[in-house]
Amino acid sequence: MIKLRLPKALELLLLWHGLFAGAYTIAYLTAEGAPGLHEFSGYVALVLLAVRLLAARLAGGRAPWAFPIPKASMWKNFGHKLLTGDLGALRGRTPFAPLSGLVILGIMVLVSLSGLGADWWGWDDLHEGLAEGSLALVLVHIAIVSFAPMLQRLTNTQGERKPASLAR
Amino acid sequence: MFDKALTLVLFGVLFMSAATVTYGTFYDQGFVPSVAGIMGLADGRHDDDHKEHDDD
Repeated sequence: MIKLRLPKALELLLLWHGLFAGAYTIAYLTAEGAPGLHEFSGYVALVLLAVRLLAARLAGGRAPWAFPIPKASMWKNFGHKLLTGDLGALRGRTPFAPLSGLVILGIMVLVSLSGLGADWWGWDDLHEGLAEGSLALVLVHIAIVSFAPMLQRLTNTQGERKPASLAR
Repeated sequence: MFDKALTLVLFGVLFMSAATVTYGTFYDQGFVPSVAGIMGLADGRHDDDHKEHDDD
């Protein structure tokens, strides 16, 4: 029997992340040829961003809705592990992941507000420039957050292969 | 957590695609131009048909 339960705060944050990524993707794809759809998805992204900023303000410093600011202890542990030659630090959650999330949040605020300006006051060039720049930051964010899980999977795959090769 | 986040990003893209096509179908240019729009294939001539009549 399936038991229904309320979603946890982290699951709600991941749902928000998915919806915002969807709104951003559609806004980017419709930017050149479909102004009506671009405005619709852009305003959805703006509302989602307002919800995120409000939730971060209400959450204070409590995870997971607080702003993703990497703690000093996280940098210290990461740096210490790397300096001692422990490359396993790269397999876990690095401080670059929350930092890239924070940078993305910042640029998205600028992109959304300039989009509002483009709609009302003709700030088209500023909005276009910021949006193109934001794509590069999004790709960097994707690379950073997917690096550790990919490395982990690669390590696990190699670990599974070893016994088979030894058996020969 | 990475897999869950990736799944929800794909869900978000699909959901926003459906929502945008629904909006475009009823309030913008119709179903086919909206589908072309979210695929990045629209030609951008949103108001050209109306502008042609301005000269008359």
